[in-house]
Amino acid sequence: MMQALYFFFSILVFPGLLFIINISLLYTGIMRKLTARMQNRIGPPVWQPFLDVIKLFSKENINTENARPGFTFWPIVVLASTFVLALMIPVSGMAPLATSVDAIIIIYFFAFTSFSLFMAGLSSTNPFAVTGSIRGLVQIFAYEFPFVVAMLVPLFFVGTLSPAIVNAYQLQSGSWLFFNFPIAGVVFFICLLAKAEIPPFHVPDAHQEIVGGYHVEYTGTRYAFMEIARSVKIFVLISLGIALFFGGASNIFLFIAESLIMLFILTVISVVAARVRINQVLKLYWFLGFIVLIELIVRLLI
Amino acid sequence: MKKRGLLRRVSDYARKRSPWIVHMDCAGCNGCDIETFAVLSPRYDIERFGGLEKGNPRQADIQVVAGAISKKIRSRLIRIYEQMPEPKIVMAIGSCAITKGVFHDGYNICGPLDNIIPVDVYVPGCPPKPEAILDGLIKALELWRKK
Ligand code: SF4
Repeated sequence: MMQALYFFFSILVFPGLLFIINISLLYTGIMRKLTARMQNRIGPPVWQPFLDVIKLFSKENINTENARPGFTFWPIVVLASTFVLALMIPVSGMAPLATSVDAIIIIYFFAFTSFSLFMAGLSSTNPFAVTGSIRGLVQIFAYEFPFVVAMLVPLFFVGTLSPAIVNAYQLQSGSWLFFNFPIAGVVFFICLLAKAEIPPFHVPDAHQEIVGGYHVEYTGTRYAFMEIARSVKIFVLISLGIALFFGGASNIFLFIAESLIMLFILTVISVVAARVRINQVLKLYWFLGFIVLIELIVRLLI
Repeated sequence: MKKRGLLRRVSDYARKRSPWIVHMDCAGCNGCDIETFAVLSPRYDIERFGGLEKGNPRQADIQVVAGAISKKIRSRLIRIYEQMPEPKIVMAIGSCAITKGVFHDGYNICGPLDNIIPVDVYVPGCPPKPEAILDGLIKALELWRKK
C-alpha cells in the first residue's frame, strides 16, 4: 500500500510531472532572462513562460481548413512522449519509471518526440510548416547517430544500459566521466544543442526565415502543449547529460546547481552563435559521428 | 463593473503580461515602421513587458498596423486580422493609419484603418516616438478586461 502510494507520488509530484513541468518552464525563463541580459536588455521576468502558457491556454483554438486529421492529435502525442522521457531519466539519481534497459527506450523516445513534432508540422500543410518539418527530419538523420554513439561510450564503460547506474558509478568513483571521455562528452554536448533546437542549430524553427517552422499553424492549447514539450525536452537533455557525463548528482540541490551551470553554458553558446545552414549541419554531424565512433571502437578494443 | 471569476482573473493577468504582437506595414512612408522596429530593439525592449514579435498572426494577440491602407493591401490586412485567434487587439500607429495623413488625396488609398477593421488603440504622430508606441501598447494591455 505504502509502496503503491509512493510510486504514484513519484510519478505525479516529485520527481514526476508536477516538478518537471514547473522546473523546466522556470529554466526556460532563466534562459530568456540570461539571453536578454547578455544582449544588454532588461528582459522578461523569470516566470514569463508560465504566463505565456496560461495565456495560450486561454486563447482560441483555430482549426485550419487544409489540415490533415493528425493536426489535433500529434501535439498531444508530442507532450505525452516527452513526459514518458522525463519519467525515464534520472533527476538526482531518481527515475520513477526506471528499468534496467532504460538507454534503449530513451534513444527511441528521443527520436519519437522529434518525429511527432515534425509530423504535427507536416499535417498542418502550411508551406512554412512543411519546410520546417522536412528540415527537422533531415536534421534527425544528422544528429541521431553521433548522439547515440556518444551515449553508448559511458554506458559501455560502466557495463550497463541504465543511466541511473552510470550516475551512481560517477558518484561512487568521485570522478566525472567527461574527463575519461572528453571527445564523447563534447560530441554529446553539441548534439544536445541540436536536439533541443537551441541556436546555432535551430534550423527547423528558424523564426527569422520560416516564421517558426513546424508550429506556424498552431494556436492556443495545442501550441501551449508544444511549448511545454520544448521546455521539458531541454530539461531532460540537461539531466541526461549530468547523469552520463557531468558528475552525477546525489541530491536535488547538487542537481540544480549543476544543471544551472549547464544552462548558463547553453545560453552563452546560443547568444554568441549564428544559425548554420542545413548542409553544414549534416557535414558537421557526420564528422562528429565518425570521430566518436572511432573513440568507441578504441575503448572497446583496449 | 461585472464581477469576474477566478479563472478569468488569472487569464486576464497572464494576457496582460504576455502580449505577442504581429506587425504590419501598409502603404505609408515607412517612418512608422522604423519607429515600431525601434520599440522591438534592445534600447526600448518590449520583452520586459513580456512582449514578443511573432511574425505569425496565428500566435499573436495584438496587431500593430502602421501606414495608410491602399486598395491592394486592404484584403491582406483583413485576412491577417481574421487569422488571429480571439481575443485580439488592433493598434493603429501614426496619422496615416488613423486619418489618411499626408496621403489623403491618393487615388489608391481606401480610408482610415477603423473603417476597415475595429481599432482599439490609436497612437497619433508622424511618426510617433517609440515611447509613444510603448505607451499605446501598455494602454492596450489594460483592454483585456473588456474583451
Ligand atoms: S504617419 Fe507619417 S511617418 Fe507614419 S507612415 Fe504616415 S507619413 Fe510616414
